Amino acid sequence: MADLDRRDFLKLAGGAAVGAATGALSIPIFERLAGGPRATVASPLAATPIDYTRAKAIPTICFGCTTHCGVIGWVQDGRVRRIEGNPLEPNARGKICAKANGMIAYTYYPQRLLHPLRRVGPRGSGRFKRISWDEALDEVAGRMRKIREEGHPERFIFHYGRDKTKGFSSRFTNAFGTPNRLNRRSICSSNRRVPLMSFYGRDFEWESQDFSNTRYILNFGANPMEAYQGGLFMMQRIQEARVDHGAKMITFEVRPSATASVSDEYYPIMPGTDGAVAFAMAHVIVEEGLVDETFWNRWANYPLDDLRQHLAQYTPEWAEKESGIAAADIRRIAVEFAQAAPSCCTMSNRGSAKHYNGVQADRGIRLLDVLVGNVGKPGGFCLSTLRMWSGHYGQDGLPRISQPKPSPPKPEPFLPGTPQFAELPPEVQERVRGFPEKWQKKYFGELATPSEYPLSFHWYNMRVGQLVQEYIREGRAKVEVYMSYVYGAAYGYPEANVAREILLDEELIPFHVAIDIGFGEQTALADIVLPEATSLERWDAHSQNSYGLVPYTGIRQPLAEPLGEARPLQLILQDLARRIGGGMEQYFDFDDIEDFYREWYQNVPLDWEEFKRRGVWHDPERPKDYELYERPVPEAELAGSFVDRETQVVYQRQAGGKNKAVGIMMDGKPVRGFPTPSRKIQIFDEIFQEAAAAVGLPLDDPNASPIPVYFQVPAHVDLAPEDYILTTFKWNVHTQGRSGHLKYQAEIVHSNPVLMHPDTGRELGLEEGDLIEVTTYRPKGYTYRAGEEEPVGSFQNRVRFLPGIHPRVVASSHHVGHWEHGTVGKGGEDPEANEFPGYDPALSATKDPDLPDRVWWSKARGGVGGGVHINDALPINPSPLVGGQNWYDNVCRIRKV
Amino acid sequence: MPHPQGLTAEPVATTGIGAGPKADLATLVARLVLREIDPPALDSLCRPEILEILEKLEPGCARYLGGHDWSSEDFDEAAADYCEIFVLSKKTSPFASAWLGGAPETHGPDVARRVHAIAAGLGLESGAASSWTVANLPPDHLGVLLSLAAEAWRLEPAVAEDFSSELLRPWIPAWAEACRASAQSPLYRAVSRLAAHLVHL
Repeated sequence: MADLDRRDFLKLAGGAAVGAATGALSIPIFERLAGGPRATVASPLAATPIDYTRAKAIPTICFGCTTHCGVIGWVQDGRVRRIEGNPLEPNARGKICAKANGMIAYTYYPQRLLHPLRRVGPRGSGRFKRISWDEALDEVAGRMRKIREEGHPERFIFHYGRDKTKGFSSRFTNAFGTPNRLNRRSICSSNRRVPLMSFYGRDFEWESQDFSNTRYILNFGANPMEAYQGGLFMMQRIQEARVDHGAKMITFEVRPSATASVSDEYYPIMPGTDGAVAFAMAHVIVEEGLVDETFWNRWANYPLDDLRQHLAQYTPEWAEKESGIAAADIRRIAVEFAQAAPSCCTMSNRGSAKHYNGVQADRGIRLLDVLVGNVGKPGGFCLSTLRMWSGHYGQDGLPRISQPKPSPPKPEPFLPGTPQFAELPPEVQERVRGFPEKWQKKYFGELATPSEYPLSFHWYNMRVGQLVQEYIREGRAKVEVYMSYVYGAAYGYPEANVAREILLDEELIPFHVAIDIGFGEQTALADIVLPEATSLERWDAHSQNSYGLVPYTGIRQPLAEPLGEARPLQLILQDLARRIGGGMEQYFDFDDIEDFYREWYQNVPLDWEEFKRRGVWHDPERPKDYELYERPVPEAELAGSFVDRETQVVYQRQAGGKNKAVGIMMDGKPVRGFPTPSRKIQIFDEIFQEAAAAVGLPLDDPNASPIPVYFQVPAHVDLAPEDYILTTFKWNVHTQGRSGHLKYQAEIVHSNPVLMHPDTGRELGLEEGDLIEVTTYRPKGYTYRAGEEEPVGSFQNRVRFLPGIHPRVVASSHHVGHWEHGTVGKGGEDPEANEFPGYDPALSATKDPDLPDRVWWSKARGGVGGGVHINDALPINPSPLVGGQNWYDNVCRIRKV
Repeated sequence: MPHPQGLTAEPVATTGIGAGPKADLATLVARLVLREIDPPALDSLCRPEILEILEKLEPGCARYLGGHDWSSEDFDEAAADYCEIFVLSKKTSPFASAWLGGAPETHGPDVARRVHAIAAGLGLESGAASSWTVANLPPDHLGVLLSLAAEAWRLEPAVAEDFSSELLRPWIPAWAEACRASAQSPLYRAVSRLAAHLVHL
């Protein structure tokens, strides 16, 4: 480059001035203030604290994870400066975690998406150009309108990773006519929910143990100190109970998690054997005569004598061989647990449930609570209501909170004779024809209701998200428009490479729209990218199960205007509906989004402005949700009701000949019971047999057992000495793949070494810090590609020794190792991306020492780097009948590199 | 006497380029970093007096801009180049906060506060919706800062010089170097060089 001289600059300036005069080379941003210059506060550029005399405190609901704590944002000059807890919110009670603070970085990080984009060049090339919202939405709407007019609205897929609009997005998909509003529930929790729904009729968005009053907590693989939905609500109460009245917590876990570390006793357990310990404890409780027979005989649907016979096989000595937990400990803990009843409770989560045998294992764990009669009791295993309040179980006396009318009709099922049914593969048609009528009426195609997994849609529609991409490849469903919404299969799903392959195939996915906050791995494979407002910039309705056992509701409200051109999902969908037209627009006929939410909450007995000021509402006079099942059925519901003589279930006659169970007769009086078909706790549930018969699973397969059973994970039977089990986990500062690019959280956790017991390391001839390769293999049993010999995948990472981890387990977290998501997200694998070359701190106005070291953990700066992506190596492994992803079954082999 | 915006109002020695041309140059760079090349902008950039200097800044730029008739695909490719640098900006964040520190990954409230204060002191405010391309853009965006600098040079050159010292000079050279290293388009390499020159004129 030649040096420029004064003449050059003047010449260029002259040309620029001419261009500016025509408007071609200028964009006017600033306008003259009426009244001329204003004197302003004189202070040089420097980090300034919040001025609390000017800042405004606005409550909202955090979206740093799925716990959804009530928070308060301090807003100054239109910008959220600080997040703290909302003491009025009865679950979190003013406490927050690092993820809540991370929402500020989530909103303001420099590589956040601020404009709509359109792909330029091949999909996946990374080449995009900015376009206007009009261009973007016209293109999306045009494609969607076409398939709707052609009578195939189901070819529009709305696939979300996190959607807490509480029904607004389904308003859109229903109005459009597609049943394909897909989620990630199978990835997260369907194995965990099915036992709850089978036992109690609802999943209640988790049970709500009365931790504040409990004396004994039996924890099977739950980790509320770090990553449990509701963990912050739970742990503060657990710790208070431990300190205030000496409550004891026992944890069975494969690694010393943070929860294990604060437990009174921690037992490293062989993966997939939590059920063995639970069944053995049930055996002890029954044999020791510690059953609450009054409760059992009143509320369990299975004879205790039959159960005793069934449990005879599950001795503590047997369980010791399965799990490695000493029989004496199993006996002692079972007795302690039962003796603390009813102020005792179980707790479980992925550690027990995300295995091939996880559904039955969790049924075994749930059994313990019923045996000791702690269900719904103070200090026990309680069930509090959830969902938006609209007259569901447990919501008697609560104001109705529902979306403004009109509501669009729901899509019609794919019944034989419909064009959608005709497009299904023959074997699927045959399977669905064989379904009982109740499932035929719930069948909406293979993406929404995969016919091989009827228990994924029997209670409600959980889907089997990890199979969606594969099903599209197999031709089980035809896709025209695929819309990802804050969804990261391309990074975060098991065998994420499968998702990427499908998303790159323009024949299988002709058009991919991604709505997101940041430019991640999924967004990089889109044709159109739409920037979304963050949770600090938008409205959402909110409800949550209550660990205080008094239902409450809250409102997520915008604290600041969306940055750049980002828009909240609600306004994106409203705009799309209006452009698509054809009647859709009538369901989105509002001019002001706040008015829409005000109407949504019109029945809350609190002035709207006051509700916004508090952020939450609950009825302080309402009694706690203890023993909901013993509450009388309200008189209004008994009008015209009748009792089934055999079952004693009370039915309310409905229009159209349908009858709705509203209670059960007990001691001659109608009480609520549980929202199950029998109104009792369904220890015995034929639904498992029914589902097995429908899909051809042998009826004697343990997954089909109507009574809870234990069986070994098939892939873990006869493990070879060189086989280990790879498990993953979540850190307390990260949320799936949505936080690895946020500076402050990444500073705390940015790597994922392979954790193993020092003895395991010695066995393998490894030193701490050695580089190893972990290779995974296919699962066994009735699951995806079971038993194939070829490895699933492998990854390389460093070893870190962790005493306390089970010696057959190796563990690595899955939040890091991004190849998109900007400077921090990539965090080390691309040396050039780790710092700003040429930065001279001496020139910095703030002399910030952090900036030159902004990714101080990068390899380029001598750090450990940004971690390794492991998800390609984790096999797709849906549980039979249910479809929940078995994240923790992974058999692997290890070699030193 | 202290300036109301906290900047010194003393004259600052320059290379002899007047405030007016500086304002024009800042306006040009602001335009190019705020929006993609469109046909009118291309026509203007292809004026000989501009093309000659851009070629000096980045050899190949003249041929890139003026050497052929631009098809719609060419505009798309140029827009993708723009997007890489200024929108996705994986290595070249156009936001001052990312370089000035304080809260590097958060669109620095301090820079925003200074921009608003300086603008108000000059009798300016940002337009409500100047264009869809800049609507609600964080005020620490390079294009917003250069636009304000241009206005300052026109209205109060001394303020502009201090503004440059405080909010442009500390980071634009570093940004320009990153941009030069990663930009595929000769135009944006030229723009980055011009921006680096501008803050030292």
